[in-house]
Amino acid sequence: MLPGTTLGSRPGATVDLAAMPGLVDQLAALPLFRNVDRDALTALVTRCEPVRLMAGSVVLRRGDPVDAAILLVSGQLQSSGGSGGPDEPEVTAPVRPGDTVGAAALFTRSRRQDATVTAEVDSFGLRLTRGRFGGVHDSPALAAIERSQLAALARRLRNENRAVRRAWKAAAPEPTAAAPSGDSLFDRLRRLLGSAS
Amino acid sequence: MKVEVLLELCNRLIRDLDVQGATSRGLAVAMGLGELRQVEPGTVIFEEGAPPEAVYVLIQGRVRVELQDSQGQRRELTTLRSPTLFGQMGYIDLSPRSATCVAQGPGATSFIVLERQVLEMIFHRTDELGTSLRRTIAASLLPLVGAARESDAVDSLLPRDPFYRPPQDDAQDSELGRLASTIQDWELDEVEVVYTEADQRRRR
Repeated sequence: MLPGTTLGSRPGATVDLAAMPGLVDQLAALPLFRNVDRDALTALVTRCEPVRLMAGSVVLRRGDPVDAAILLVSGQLQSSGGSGGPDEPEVTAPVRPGDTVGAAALFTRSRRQDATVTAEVDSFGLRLTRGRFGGVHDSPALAAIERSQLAALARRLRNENRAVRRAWKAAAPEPTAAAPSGDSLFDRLRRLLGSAS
Repeated sequence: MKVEVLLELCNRLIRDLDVQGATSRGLAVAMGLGELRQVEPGTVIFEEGAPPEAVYVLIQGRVRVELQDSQGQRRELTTLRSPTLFGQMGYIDLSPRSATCVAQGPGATSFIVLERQVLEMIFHRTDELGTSLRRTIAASLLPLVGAARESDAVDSLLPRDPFYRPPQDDAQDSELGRLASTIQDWELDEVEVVYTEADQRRRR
């Protein structure tokens, strides 16, 4: 998390449910948590740090170490892959409520952020730090986030495979008309080199 | 089976994939329910388009991942080195296999086959077993992001991922294989899986 990009969060802060009425309702309305009961959602938010993300702020920067994932509760972010340089066009994807950014922090100990994430509009999210969630095994809400992120990863890899196929197809030579009968490559080579028999 | 050997295999998997919050004990339960197989180089483990019926844990050798191009020719996308998982994308989204996986060696390729029904018992659990499995699968997928773009077959056709980390050398292959070969009876006999009511419903 870059300094100065959040309001209402500080290291180690926890969500004051009394100060955020309706937060559990907001979470319960997300398809991600349709099979998760309210007690489990309450337990999730009490471990999280609330983050308010101002429109235009950079939430995560590509290449930086990540120590926390952010579950977007409201608003919209944008995830940008690629450097944006002339040889590497930027690929962007919207991040909507229920999506999680920086999820590598939940799954690995040292992987870096692979996309830059900026806030499109004023947004609100819950920050799940590696320190607080790394050793948690009994949270149905966290399990739901993990499953959702696995599905997102699988989608991303399938899209990459499709991109590879498209690139191969675009680079393939144009199909040539079939050689007339009796004029195959073998026939032409035989005419050029003569028959070995 | 020696549980210590299985635990050691899981320890290495967690360490090498840099998995956060998984325990070798939790992962060992899933792996202990699988079947150990060994195949010769060139063996097709599964083909592109096939139904996704299992996840594989590569413990010795390499696996070449191939895609079919528009002319029907199989081209190498990337090569996986042990220890890692493969075939996990199909398990997650139920889609047909997106690529063909071929044992590459050197020597025999050993892997554990985790059938879908077995994984279903563990994947949804909210305990050490479920968390360990989910996080290990995720950690095995993350390095694949950008890997295709580094492939020789793709080369300059697609922009490269500047943060892609190539896999480390596989000097430990033989050590993992030695460990795997000490497993005589691939049956779990010392770790008990306790099924919850939700698990039982899912099994039905």
